[in-house]
Amino acid sequence: MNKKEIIDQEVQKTLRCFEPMEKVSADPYFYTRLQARLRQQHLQKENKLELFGSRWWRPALIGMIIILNLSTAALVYLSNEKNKGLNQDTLTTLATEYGLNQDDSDLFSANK
Amino acid sequence: MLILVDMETELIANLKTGNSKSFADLVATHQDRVLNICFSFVHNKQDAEDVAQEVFVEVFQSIQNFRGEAKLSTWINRIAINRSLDLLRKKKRKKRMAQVRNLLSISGTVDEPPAAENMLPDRMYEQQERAEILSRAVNSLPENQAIAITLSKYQDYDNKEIAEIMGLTLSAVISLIHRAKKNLYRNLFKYYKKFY
Repeated sequence: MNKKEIIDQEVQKTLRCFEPMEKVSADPYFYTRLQARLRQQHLQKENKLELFGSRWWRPALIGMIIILNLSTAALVYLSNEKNKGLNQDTLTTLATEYGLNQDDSDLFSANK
Repeated sequence: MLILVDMETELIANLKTGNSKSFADLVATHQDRVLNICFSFVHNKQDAEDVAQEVFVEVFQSIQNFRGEAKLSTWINRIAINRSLDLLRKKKRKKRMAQVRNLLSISGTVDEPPAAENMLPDRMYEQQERAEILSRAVNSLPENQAIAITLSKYQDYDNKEIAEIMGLTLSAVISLIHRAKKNLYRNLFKYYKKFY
């Protein structure tokens, strides 16, 4: 027998293992465990719902978040617009008041 | 026949209203078949039971979406196959991760395919070994071919039933099984070639 024939024989032997599988039957507690699993999943779902409110409250919650976001954006935009109107004089006054326009580069030379 | 159809329609209607007695009846009727389908894919009773439970959870949760285009048992069989394949995919992913970890020498061991020289001389063990090799070869087939050959060879379904479950034509199933056999032969030949 050559190598190919030997391999072919092995393959055929393995393919013969293809026979209807032994039948298994479900555990006697299959349905009880299934009920427990369903109950657990139901509880998990309820907990999730509690976090985000009931189905009817969810659209209201999302709407409120959108309104809050829009009003914050509008407020920021309006305050930026206001700041644009701040004229140079106001800036100079503020700078003088806080001493920001002093030239500190010759602080040491003054002590000489 | 008409009476059976009516009974199924009634059962579905009851299930849709959340009738727990109908659900218990449904589980009692289908549990063994679902378990055996899962078992023929995952080859482990514990895993098969877990998958079968998931199947019935899905049936319970999605019965509202069941439009009655196929038989109820066909629909349940399809869910069983899909859930079994999900588990196999998950296992494959885990195995790949373990191989990568092993390559990087992080930790963990890889399930090496049993080498031919490790085979036990006893005939029973040899048969077990061959069955294991065959099951791995089936799992390495393209998904549709693996489903068709598993249902045909391990579950003894006829081609018409397989066509119904897979939503294919009879000729498509015949062609799938033919290709699956061809690919199986080729894969097994390649596997045994390493040892000769």
